[in-house]
Amino acid sequence: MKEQLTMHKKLSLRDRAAEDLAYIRSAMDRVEGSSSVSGLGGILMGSIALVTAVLSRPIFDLQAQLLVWIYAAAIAVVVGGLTSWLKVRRQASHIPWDPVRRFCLCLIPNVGAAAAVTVALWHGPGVVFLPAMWMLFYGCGVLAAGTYAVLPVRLMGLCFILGGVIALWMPMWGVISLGLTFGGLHIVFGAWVYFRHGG
Amino acid sequence: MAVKRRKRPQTGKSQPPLEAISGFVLDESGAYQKLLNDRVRLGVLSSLAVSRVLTFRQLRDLLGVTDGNLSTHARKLEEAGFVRCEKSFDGRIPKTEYSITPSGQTALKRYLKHMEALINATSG
Repeated sequence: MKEQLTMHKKLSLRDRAAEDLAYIRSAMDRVEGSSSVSGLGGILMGSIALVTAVLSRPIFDLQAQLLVWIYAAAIAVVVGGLTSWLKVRRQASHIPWDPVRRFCLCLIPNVGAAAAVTVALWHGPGVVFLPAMWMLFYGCGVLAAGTYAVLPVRLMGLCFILGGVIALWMPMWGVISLGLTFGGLHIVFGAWVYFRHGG
Repeated sequence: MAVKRRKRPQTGKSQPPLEAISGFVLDESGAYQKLLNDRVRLGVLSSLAVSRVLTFRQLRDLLGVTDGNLSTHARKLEEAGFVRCEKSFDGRIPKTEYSITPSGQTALKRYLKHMEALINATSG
């Protein structure tokens, strides 16, 4: 009986210690997640998308329009990465490599899949579906990556998926919907992160 | 008018207290243990160990606690010298910022070591 009681006490102490360690880990993860996504970066990426929407509007060839968007995406990725880096340097006591690595692991496969679909559909009639595909893949990536980040990031991913689904049914509005989603959603959710989650 | 309620984290009151084990006594008075036995205080210290500075609002949102709850626990940590609190104005809006002190970092490290030792001692 005494042995059983000692064993029970040992187990509950170990459980309590393990729970505390898990709680500390999750608290640290939440902070790292909130400090590694830049709201300012989101606003700037959204602004780049809006400018791209305006610039690509007079172009009549769809492939040429989409090419402008690909260049703009490359610039936006650099801007987003740089602003996130600056935010981390300003806020965190060390570089939180873990959330950065997890964020990239969730996002990069989706971007890769989008690139593969782009190459496959580029010269065929399916090119009109590319804007919707980009939204869907990007939304899935952001939603998955948002598991390790703050709530607005997950919501933004969800909105991109919804936008992509709608755009699938209206392929003729594809490029305009790119401006609305990549521009509007980045600015709205970027502002949310900027004002509520430290910049 | 409906009052917005926040989900309160477990305070650990129903759980057994962590005991000091041989070779890993937290300190003579058991002050670290007593102070960090609460989940909110542990959460505040852990969060501040990662981020240089966090505002009151950021901490409240991250931990999912009420203003009053966070304020009480943060004051206890401040009185113990584990966190530093700076009040300023952002335009006309008052802003409270918290940061961890070296003794707060030491306390958290010792607490983590203590728990690891507890797990090692009680397993097997």
